[in-house]
Amino acid sequence: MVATSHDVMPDIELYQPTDEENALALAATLGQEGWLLAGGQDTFGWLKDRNKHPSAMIELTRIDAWKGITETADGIEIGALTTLTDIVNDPLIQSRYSLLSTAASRVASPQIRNVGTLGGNLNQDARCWYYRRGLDCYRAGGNICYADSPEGLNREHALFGQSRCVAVSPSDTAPALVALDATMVVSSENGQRLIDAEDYFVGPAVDIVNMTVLRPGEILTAIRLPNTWANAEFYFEKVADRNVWDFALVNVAAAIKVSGGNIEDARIACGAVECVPRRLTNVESAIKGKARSEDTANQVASLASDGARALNYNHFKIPLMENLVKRAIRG
Amino acid sequence: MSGPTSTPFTSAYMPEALAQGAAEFGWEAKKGRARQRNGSKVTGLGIGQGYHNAGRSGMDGIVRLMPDGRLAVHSGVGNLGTYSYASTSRAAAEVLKIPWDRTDVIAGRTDNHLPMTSAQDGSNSIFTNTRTNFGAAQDLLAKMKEIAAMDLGGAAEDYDIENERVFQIADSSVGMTYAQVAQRGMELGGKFTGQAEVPEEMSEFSKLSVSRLAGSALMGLFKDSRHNNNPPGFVVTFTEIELDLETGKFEILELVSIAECGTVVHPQGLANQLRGGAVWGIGLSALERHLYDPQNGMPASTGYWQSKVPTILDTPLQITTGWVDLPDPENPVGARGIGEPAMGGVSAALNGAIADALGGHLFNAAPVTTDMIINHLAGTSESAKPLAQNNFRG
Repeated sequence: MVATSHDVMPDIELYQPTDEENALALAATLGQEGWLLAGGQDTFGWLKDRNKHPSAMIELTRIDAWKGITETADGIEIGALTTLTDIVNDPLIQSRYSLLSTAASRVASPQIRNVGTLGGNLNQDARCWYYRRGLDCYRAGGNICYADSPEGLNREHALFGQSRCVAVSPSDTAPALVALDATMVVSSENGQRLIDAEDYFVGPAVDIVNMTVLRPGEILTAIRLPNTWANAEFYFEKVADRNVWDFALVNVAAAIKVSGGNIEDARIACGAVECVPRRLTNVESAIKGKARSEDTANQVASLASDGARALNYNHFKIPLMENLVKRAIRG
Repeated sequence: MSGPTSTPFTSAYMPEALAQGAAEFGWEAKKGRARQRNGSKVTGLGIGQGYHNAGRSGMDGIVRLMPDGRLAVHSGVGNLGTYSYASTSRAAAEVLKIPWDRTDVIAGRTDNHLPMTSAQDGSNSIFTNTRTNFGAAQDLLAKMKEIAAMDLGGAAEDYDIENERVFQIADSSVGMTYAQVAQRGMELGGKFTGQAEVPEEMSEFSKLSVSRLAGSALMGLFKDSRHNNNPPGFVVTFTEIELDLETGKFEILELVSIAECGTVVHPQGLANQLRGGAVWGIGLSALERHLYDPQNGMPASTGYWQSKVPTILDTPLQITTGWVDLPDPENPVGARGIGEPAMGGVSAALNGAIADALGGHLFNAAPVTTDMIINHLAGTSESAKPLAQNNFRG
């Protein structure tokens, strides 16, 4: 074996397939060892910190079939390798699903959006700083959570669904896709699985190591947005410490159908409050049939945080989440 | 070097800076806006003063008049986006009345044979190193006049300089060009070229540089004495913010920083210092926490994500700058330094504006982050303490 230096890129077998068949075959062959590399904005952080040590990588960015935005019979399909910048600038998404283009525009920074992909933004790993530090926490296969400890620094962590791990979903586009009722297209040598965006993400009670249902050998290749929520009234807001180049403290994505002045239907999801984008079905039900107004917003806002359990330092997320939901409903 | 003692200031013009800042900001017209509501937003106003002792002394200067008549200023001062290497060297060019484009700043590498220069920190550079360059240029000027008197008659004090010539005051047609003086100095050697009478008090490092340069040009050498009092750097900042009571986020609508740092030597460099310091102050007051996990002793503010250095969208669209521009008596060109004060003024003003928007004397800490603001507004600030920060916590 070649001697490994800590001052350079580690030794990694790099595969650069140029077609789908090849990529899926590599994914099947390499299995757990085949680290999927897209824009690299999650990957290179891990490598730079020397906290993950993949032995092989499958670079997906050369596969054109998994890039771009196309119109389909019942909506649009977005290749998972499409960059966030391309999503932000796409006229079709802007005109029909501006919730997604707005959410994508708030991800990280322009430089990161230029190379970062939609698939990467959805599949990125937990950003809990203890986990990212390479500690032996539950999520890393150990048996402790540093964040949910008496003195743990957990300002950015979860209000809901804590189960040994309290990391949150870091994505800005994930809540938008849940609100738009998107479908994830997961491909493997065995064919395709279609999964509702809402079911694609999993919390630690289900799987403490993986944040999605994606399994070794599988690749998220496309995201489908149905016509059902095209041109609805949308609201996206992200509150982060910094106005650019930061993860959300809380974000909210709402798709609301208004008819005759009243809310006919709505899908609302919050990010950064749970390990998965948290869909607020109780709020959605409560606003149905009501006017999209300040009054309605004030009446239901407290439902948003129903069931929240604050940790040492994340109490602020409760009023923040309520306020963002209020703003989403108020419009 | 002046520490936290009761040493008197060399000079201070804070009332002038405050008046200038108030006028530039339009304080009288704007002060009524404090705590005005605009939807979910509320306006906050803040005024801050930044201070740092801003000057040292006792360093060395080396300047050379080259055989082609150009001036070489040897300097260990760098460029932190502040053009300090240029602004400090300018003092020598002014003494010798030589155009800036005929002056070469020899800097950047130890093997350029540099004098002992102060470290570029603590707002000291302009004060400290204009003293040395001014002194070295005075020594060079004296030698130039001495050579002229030697060759053209009379005494050194009978000579003056203008247009890169040394000439007799009584008859300006009698004189030598700078190139001629430099060449003559090289023929004479000895103290004129750094081969003799090198000031004993110069540091060993500077003497080594002089020895390497010896004989190459007509040389001016200087060991700075110590100054007496404490040269201050001051900045006064006025700011207006709009804070959203629902998100805890605020936008800086206006920010005016006025420097009180003696005579302004390099306006562009000073404006850059004030703008850069403003970004620094925004980070200090709003974003950059220094955190450690108290149980495991692990630093949590690692990397650019967790350190939260401000981004361009966290800064105001425009940062207005200005300066009082009154000379300091203990610096030959009247200048005092201005690094840290540019940060302190903005930091204080911003903390004041946040507290003002929220209606009281609040937090007593920096930074005041989004979570702290929301907790305060939700009334949970007592039960939900902010993260223990290791900087500037009251």
